Amino acid sequence: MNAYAIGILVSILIYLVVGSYAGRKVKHLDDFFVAGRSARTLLVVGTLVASFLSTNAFLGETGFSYQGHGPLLLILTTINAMGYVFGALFFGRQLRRSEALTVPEYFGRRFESRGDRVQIAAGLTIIVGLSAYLLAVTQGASLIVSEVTGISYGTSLLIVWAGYTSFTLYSGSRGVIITDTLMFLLFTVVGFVALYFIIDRVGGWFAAIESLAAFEPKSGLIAWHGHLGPGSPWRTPIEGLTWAVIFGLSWGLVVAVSPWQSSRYLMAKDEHTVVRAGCVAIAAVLALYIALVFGAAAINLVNPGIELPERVMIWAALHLMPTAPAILLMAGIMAAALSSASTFLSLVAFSASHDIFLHRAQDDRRHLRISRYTMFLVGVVILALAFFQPPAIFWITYFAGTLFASSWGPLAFFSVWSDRITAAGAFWGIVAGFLGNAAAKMLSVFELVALPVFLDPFVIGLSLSIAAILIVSRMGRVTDSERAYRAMIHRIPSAEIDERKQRETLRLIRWLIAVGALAIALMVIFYARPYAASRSAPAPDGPAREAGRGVDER
Amino acid sequence: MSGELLLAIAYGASMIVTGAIAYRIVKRDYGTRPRRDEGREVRQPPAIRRTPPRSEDPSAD
Repeated sequence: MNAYAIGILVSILIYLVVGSYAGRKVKHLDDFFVAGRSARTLLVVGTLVASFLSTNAFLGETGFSYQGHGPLLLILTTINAMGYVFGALFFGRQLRRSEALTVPEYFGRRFESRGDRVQIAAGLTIIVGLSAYLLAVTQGASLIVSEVTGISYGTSLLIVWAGYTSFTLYSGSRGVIITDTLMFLLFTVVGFVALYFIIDRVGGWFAAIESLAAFEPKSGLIAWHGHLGPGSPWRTPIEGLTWAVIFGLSWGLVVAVSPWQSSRYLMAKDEHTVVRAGCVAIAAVLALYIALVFGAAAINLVNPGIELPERVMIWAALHLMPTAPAILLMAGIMAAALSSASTFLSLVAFSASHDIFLHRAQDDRRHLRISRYTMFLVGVVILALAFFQPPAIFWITYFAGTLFASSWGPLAFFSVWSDRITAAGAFWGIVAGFLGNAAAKMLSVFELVALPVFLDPFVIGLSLSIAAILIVSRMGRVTDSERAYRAMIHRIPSAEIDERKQRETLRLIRWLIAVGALAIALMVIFYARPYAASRSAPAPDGPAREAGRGVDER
Repeated sequence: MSGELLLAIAYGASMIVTGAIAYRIVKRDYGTRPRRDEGREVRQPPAIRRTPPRSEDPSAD
């Protein structure tokens, strides 16, 4: 067993210990489902970001940046991360006032539907969409463990699966938010540690920008539009920008309303925590993506020929970093995978037990026990699928990720901000958004239809969902209790009207605005100006090039 | 203005804009001063509630 294997196993053991400690406090259903609704800002931020970033961010998107599309990823993330604040303000606070245990339960209470079909439809989308996502993350994490440690894929799968399933099963959301926060802190720190070592290896920041600006094999590597032309999915800057804006909006909706993001607001101690968490999360995600995008792009200066781009960070850990930080980076990548896996497992199990089978009133302890059995069963099914299905990580992530943006996005905001939506409209909105997106993706993936950039499956699903909600709602009538429920979620609870809390929240928001201003200054000084200067100067032959020549000697 | 400069500005501006919107909403929704629009359970803190209503205040005119 090598040092990386030991590092990864030790990190999993730490999560197990923390999860078991947190699990001892689980006495009631509220503890298991929504962490007793007592989470403070750091915990909500930790679980928001850790659930959002998975192996896709550390492997798929760093590979994407390495290939020359990092700046488009930054544009996408800039738009997408705004979903944290908009989601918290315009959906998260109202969702929290519902005091539901799951987001589908909120939809079920908000819309008085025949046979609870709105809650069941929302719950089913979670079971289908997030099980696929969980499968992808489990397979991704197992492949990393297998590749880094030399252990077989099957054994790695068992280690990874047992790691996240055991603490999630025992401690539920109470454990998940703590382990998520630990994982968030770990991968955020190692993201910057990796950036430091990569940039140091290529001769420092300004030398790296100068060399990347003139990097011939992938021209435009750090230009605002990234690398275009042969080998790139986009032919023109406008095509790339259109893609980044559409995906930014789609992932912005995911961040604002998807079950694995908005459900975190149900755990918040109060509404101020919801708003503060949204404000810290946008800054944290934007900062981390700078490290990932520029770090991955700079690896080109050392080795522009890595065959599997999605392994670029693993390559950097093995070749560009000393052993101790490299172990931390491996553990950080693993943390990104495990944090998403634990959240997805808990949400699928909660929906199966609470939204589909047990949504009628049940004894608290019995409900808790059944939820744990369901979680174990879901875990076993995922393990079996991961074992027998060939890994298709990025395809599945691509498939499952934005399903919720189109099936839940319009309904989530309409449920709060419109009093003309009926239960039938809500139901058909979920169905049309989900099926519309999934069908368009199927046709596109199997190359039966070539969709233009602006007609992404997300756009098709979203349009169908909005149309279904509005058209079907026109044919029905909103009930008095639906109007009353909507009025209830707009009433600010008296406990939230507190000058001290408001002062603290406003202080944090001022901090966010200051960070935004500082970010502009830093991006201009460290990116836009040196890039412009390099483009107008002759091609460099500086230390970065020399560093690149030295890579094969290692 | 170059695309890189615009990207740099947009990157930070996303935090400034969302922060400004959040500031306005938190200031409006969670303050202790009464609001004229939609109702909420508590509109004034005890200290303000002790002040006589405007119609009963002899100095109001």
